[in-house]
Amino acid sequence: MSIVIEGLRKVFPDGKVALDGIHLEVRGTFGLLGPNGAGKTTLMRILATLMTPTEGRVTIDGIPLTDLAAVRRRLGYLPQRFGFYPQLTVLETMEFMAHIAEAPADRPRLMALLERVGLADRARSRVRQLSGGMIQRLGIAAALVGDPRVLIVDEPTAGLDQDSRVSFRNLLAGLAEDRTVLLSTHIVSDVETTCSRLAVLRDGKVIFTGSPDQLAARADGKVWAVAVEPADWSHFEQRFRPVAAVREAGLVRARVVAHAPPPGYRAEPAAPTLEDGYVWALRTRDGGEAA
Amino acid sequence: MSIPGVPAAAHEAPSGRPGGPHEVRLVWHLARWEFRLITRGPAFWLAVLAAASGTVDLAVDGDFGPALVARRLGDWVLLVGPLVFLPALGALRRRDAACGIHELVQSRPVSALAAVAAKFLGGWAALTVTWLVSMTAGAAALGAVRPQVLPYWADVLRMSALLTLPCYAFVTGLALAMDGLTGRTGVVLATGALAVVGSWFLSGAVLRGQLAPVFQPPNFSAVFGLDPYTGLIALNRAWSLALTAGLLALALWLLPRKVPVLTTAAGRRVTALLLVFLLAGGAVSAVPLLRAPASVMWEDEAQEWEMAQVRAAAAGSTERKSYWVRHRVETPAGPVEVYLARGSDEAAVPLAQAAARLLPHFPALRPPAGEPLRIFEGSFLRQARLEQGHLVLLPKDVATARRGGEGRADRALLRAMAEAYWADLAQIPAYVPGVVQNGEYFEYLPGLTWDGAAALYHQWVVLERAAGPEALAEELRLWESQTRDALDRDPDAFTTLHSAGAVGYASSALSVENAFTLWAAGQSLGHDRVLAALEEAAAAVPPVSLGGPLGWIPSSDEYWQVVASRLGLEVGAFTPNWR
Repeated sequence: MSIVIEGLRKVFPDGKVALDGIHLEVRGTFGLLGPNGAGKTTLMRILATLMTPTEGRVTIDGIPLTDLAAVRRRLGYLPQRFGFYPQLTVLETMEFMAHIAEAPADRPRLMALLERVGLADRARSRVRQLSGGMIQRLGIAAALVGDPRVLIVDEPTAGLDQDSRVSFRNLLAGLAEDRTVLLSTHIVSDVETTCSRLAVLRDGKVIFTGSPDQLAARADGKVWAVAVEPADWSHFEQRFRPVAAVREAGLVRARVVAHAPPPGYRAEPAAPTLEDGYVWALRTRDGGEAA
Repeated sequence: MSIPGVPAAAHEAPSGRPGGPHEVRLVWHLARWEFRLITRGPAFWLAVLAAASGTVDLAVDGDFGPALVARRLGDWVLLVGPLVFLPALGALRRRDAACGIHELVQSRPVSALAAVAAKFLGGWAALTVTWLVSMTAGAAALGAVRPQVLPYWADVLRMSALLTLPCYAFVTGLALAMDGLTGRTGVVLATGALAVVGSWFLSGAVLRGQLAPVFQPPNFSAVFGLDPYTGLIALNRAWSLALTAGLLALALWLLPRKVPVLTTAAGRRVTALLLVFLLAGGAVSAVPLLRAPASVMWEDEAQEWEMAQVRAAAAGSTERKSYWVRHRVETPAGPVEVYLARGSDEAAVPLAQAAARLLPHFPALRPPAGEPLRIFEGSFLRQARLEQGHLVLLPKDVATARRGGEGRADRALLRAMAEAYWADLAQIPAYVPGVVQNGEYFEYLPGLTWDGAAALYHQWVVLERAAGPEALAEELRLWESQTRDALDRDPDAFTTLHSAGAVGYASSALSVENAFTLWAAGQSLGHDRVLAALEEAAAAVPPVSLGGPLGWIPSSDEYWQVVASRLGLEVGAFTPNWR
């Protein structure tokens, strides 16, 4: 079970190149990181059969993307922005989604799915009565209702509180055993805790593919812990673009990702995190590979 | 492979040929959901109840004959209902996109064909619920008011379904096509409103012949489950269904272009099939529609057919025995046979007895010796008439007799006898086709020619002789209030008059003015002399019908000139018909 992407290119009618020669092999739980406009959602929509590529070849579970019906029967997709019919109840929504996924719509199974996403007690509530986080969880359950071999989720934890986010990560971890999960997000910690492999997209190109540790390792020797006087913070922030900052004991303690420590400041080397590696990859021309 | 804690999904159809059983099952599921989505919520049911209340209101009023049920469903639910529901029906793209579920649906194995078919079936089913609730409400009300009509309910349902449901299909298809094209609620609603309202208000051969039949059922009162017009109506509705097929083909063609990710494997074949249906249905139904503007042609044929039924019944046989219920009533003046459309039984005896009382005043209507007087209910007529000496009444005459007992039956029958007698003398046919002149549409209305005034005057004469001067004085007081000025102020004055207890049927202010001129002449010269002059003048001038609607004015003027000269009156005493 895998998604194989070869030479994928998408050019919009206005000439904008959204994806430019993507090569990827997606297995297990795979994270897709990238800033806004990097092409993540375009890639996800192509994989979800909602958009056709300009060039390239994609197979899902060995089936070419052009065989829409067959691909869709193996696919669960949760878009970045979605909704449900507000007049239906949560359980009815699940029944509807099961029917269009050609999956069994028996209530015990649907209730078990709702239980899994923490919505069993709201089964009889109307969708219009749900909070944003609950709708997000319902979306996850809906994407899973067909028991898909490949699950594609676009920014799934946006709007979830911390508890729900942890639950979702656990759910993904449970799913990954025998299926492919492609998770697109801008929240690095989601990828860090759930994905065994990831890719970083920038300007429609893949600039990194590997494990979270490998991405973090790219920033090895490039991360500096710096103590900055509050009065100087504005100037420092503008010049060195720190990735994190905490105010502590009258100083601002910042992390900076750079070739060398910021001159003129007291800096100490720090162990890189995945976020440091991600930032370093984005800031360097080659994705930090040469470093 | 399963989700932890969740039973595995053994897929019902992991793969399948487009258009195969799995797709049929998917359409079924989707249609059920579409139906649930439309019918979920109070707005739908409030609209349904509002529609149903129209039929209940009719039943309570006592105007709820079996034929009227279906008619009302045509005029009321058919036009108003779809307009109310159009925004809900046109949900091919708009609603799903608005609530954000479209990508979830489109990433599932749902084809364009399944989407269009399901939304059409679900929408049509929801409209059918409107119809069923209205029919049920009507049946319940009718059961309380006129339970004897209920045995005919199956016929009502059949006819009403034939008329209504194809139109609902058309409306649903129209909404889907418009939504598929634009994805905008306003456009869906505006197009539907334009088509429905336009077909209702606009005249002209094209609209009357081509568009109007989609929405406007013809006057089928007399064909209520009983006559050859069922076939014509079926053809008419074939036209509606053919147009529906065309709209669905359009929706099916548009949807994959607007939503390119939908699969279309079987869609092209079905689109082609729908187009074939459009052409075949259109060709089959175009034959009667092209013969003449449909609604007009049906009225014409229906009247001719009904008169043939009168002749056949009088000769002892009817083409369809169930067309009328025959009542034979023995009266002091001899036997009277009253042929009424079903459901009008209680009017027979008052009508027969009224006929016995009035017959001495209408010697020309007396049957040959040994023959009964025959009175028929003519559902297609605009004016009571004589058919080979038999009196054919309007349904409203029968309704008046049914509701008002003998007193009202006398008055209704008096009017009918007088109008039929003078229309016969004027040789006005049962049906006068309308004409278009300089862009204006003219059609015959009873009372617009000289016979209207003569008939009204004749009624007053008979009323005075049969019911006495007091009854006449009361009647004249009512008519005197109906001057032309009064009519200008209240266009519905004749209805008011009817409600007040007078004759009140459609006539014109011209007829009333000339009737008063005749009445004044009768008081000084004697009514018999005036009546004789009117009859002689009728024989002296050409039949009104020869000139068609546009020939009425010169024909009537010539008639009044003859009458004036015979009575020694100034011709200016009579109101010209062009005023």
